[in-house]
Amino acid sequence: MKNFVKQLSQWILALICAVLILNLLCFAYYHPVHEMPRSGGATPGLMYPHMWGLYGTEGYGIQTIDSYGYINPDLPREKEIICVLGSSNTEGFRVGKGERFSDLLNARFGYKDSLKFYNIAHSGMFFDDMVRHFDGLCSEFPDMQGLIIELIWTKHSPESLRAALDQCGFSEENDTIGALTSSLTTKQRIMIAVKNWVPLLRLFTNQYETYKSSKSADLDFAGFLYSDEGVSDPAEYEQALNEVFDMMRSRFDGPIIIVYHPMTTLSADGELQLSTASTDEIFRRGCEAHDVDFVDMTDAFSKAYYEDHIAVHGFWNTSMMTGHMNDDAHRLIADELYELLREKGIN
Amino acid sequence: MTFLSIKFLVFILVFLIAYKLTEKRMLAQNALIVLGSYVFYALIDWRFSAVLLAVSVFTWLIGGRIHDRSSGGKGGSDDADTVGASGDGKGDSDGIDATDAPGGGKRLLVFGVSVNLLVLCFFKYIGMFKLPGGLAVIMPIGISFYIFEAISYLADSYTGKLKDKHNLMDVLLFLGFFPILISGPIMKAHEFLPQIRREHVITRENLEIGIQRFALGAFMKAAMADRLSVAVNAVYASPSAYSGMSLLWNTLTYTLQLYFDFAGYSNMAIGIATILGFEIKENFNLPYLASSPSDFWKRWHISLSSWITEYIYIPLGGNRKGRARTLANIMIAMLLSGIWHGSTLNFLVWGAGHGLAQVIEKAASFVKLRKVSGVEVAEMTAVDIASDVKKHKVNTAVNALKVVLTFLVVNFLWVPFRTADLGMTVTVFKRIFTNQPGITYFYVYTLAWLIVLVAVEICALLKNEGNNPIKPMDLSTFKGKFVLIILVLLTGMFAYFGNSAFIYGAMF
Repeated sequence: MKNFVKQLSQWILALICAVLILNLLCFAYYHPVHEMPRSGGATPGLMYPHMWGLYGTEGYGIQTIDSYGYINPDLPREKEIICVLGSSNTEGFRVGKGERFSDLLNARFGYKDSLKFYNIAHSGMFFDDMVRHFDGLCSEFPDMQGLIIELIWTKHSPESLRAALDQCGFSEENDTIGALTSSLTTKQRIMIAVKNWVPLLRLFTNQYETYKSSKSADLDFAGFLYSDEGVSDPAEYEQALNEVFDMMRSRFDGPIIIVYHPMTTLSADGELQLSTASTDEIFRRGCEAHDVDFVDMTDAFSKAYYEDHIAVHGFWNTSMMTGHMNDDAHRLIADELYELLREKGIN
Repeated sequence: MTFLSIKFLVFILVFLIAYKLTEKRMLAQNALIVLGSYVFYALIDWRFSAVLLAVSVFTWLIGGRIHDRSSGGKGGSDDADTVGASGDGKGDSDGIDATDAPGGGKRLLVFGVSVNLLVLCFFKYIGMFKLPGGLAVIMPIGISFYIFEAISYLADSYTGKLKDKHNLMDVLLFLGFFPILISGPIMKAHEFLPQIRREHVITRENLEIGIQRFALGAFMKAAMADRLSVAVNAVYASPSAYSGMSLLWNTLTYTLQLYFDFAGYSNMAIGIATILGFEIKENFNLPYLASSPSDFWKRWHISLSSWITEYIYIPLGGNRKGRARTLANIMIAMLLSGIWHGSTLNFLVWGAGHGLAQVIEKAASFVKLRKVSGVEVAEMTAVDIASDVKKHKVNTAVNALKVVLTFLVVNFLWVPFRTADLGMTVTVFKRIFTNQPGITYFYVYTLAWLIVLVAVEICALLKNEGNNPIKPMDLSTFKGKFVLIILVLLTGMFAYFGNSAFIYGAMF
């Protein structure tokens, strides 16, 4: 019995020691941020403030959460900001500090101690989500001088676009960072602390989610991206899109720039394949008709590949031409936007 | 169903409970292993079990008759060199001799081996032909391994290495033994079947060794090999897109991937077999520390090279029929090894490459032998001690160079092994050796796992004469427990389950 107790104690102690050591390793490998969901505002959720996020599973980047719950350096905002909205590509957790296109734009326009280009990206947020939160965005950022929207694809069904016209709005009582953090229960605060201090748990959760996803046949992401399926009625799509742009223009009449960057992959003979679609042209027309600048990165990405052998997606710890935009892609987008913004006299 | 699946975890737990209950009842236990093995195989595809059953029954029937008829069959010893042993002039030990006394036994042997090979060839090469009505034939997983084991049974019955006649259950167990069914190691009948005729008990010692072996194998497979496969698959899907240096780095990535994958699986298989009380021979011994092509085949897929030596190389004459024939036998054996691995021309080229490397090595050894047999011998014995020390340093440097050169040969020969066709092989080599521009991509996990492997190899050189230094730890100590837990957790942390780029749910 004595030996059994001794052995059991050793197993428990060994487990604790192992977990402590590997948890420490996680601080340099995988330390995601914590999100607090909300019903209104510019995005579906805000990050717990003053935390830092590190993702070594794809690329390697550390980004900080500011006091407003967005992924920015904790610097004061300019009075008139240009909001940069997008998905996880724009969030930029996979690239290094200062390498996101929003950060590059701040640097190029000389904003070292303040933020002119304010990153409000949120992972998983695609165009229809951004449309749904548009009223919330305008209400949350009434002094917004301009808006940059990052887009991976234009293939949205007319139904989803029209559904997005049902706006979320914004409530000072419920949707600000102060409201969210003050409404946290003790249990939630403990959970946040555990998630912050035991990133090993988050890593195992991520592994489990990835495992589940690999077994699921629900979404053929690549199949969706690289085919022209998804919009069966172009005329209906164009009409729905116009309704969306009409709504956007009724809420905000400042400069709107949509940066469209297709996903990339390689064919067997080394040719670049881009996830462009027939809806791209319709989308471009819709933008033009509503005084929205449409920056299409297709040519820039193609040129970078064929002339300089640059892969704009992927990292040395995953594979090239897959996954999120890397620092080269962010740099190319910043180059295009910088020229456009200067032409428009925005700085 | 792989070893690293929830399904297998449930299977093995149920199996082990039943196994424990049948301890000390040999027949019941053997029947349980047979049942468990067929359930395991059927869970992958029930049709595979039907093929295995048919092969097993056929092999048992023929093997039994061979055993009866082979009176005076030679009972050779079991210390055959592997293919490509350095030429020392000694004759190889006896295996199947092509000039054995003829009789019904030999004819049955030829018949039995031919049918087994036909079955293997059918499943392996039918894919090269277009079948009517769009019919497709799926190759049963593991067939290459158990067919070779079946041939071993027939051959050992003929030569008398199997003293006892074995019943159907024995053969079903031997060919279907689930830990080694899918990917080996390939066991020879005279090594495995005697183990069946004794009781097996799950001992604490075997459990500890087996679990550690399995954990190590799981880490090698899931965290190392599967993670490396990300880069290999991406680059070989579009080799023309990548720079020459990136492709060169990728050859190293694949070299490591293949080793960790195969050795990892072998470790898991040996681990499970150990828990069940069976002894399975080692299949890998730090192959990238080999100092020559023949040494490589004493360290890589040892069970296959041993099988080829005993059942192909030696029956062809081994090194007993003169130098030219020895070289030819080496080449034939390696070409057959290539064909065994795959049905395309790539594998033949790979086999030929290894054959050529060993032929050159063997031929060089013939030249060296001739040199030292003459006057030079007297001069060599006159060397003084100071010169001996210098010689040792030179020898160490020479050995290091040999290891590096062997590694380079092996590394580049893995390219045709992996690429889809010879055209792609040529593309890859062309881009590497002309340093073509392209995407720069140096997969970081290649460096990480290379460092781990080199550290183990240095340990091997310093502490175990170049042999695998990793030994099971004593799990009754804190250190043993800690190391095992770290290994399991690291597997969980770094195992590759798929592209997690857009798994949003896991972020929060």
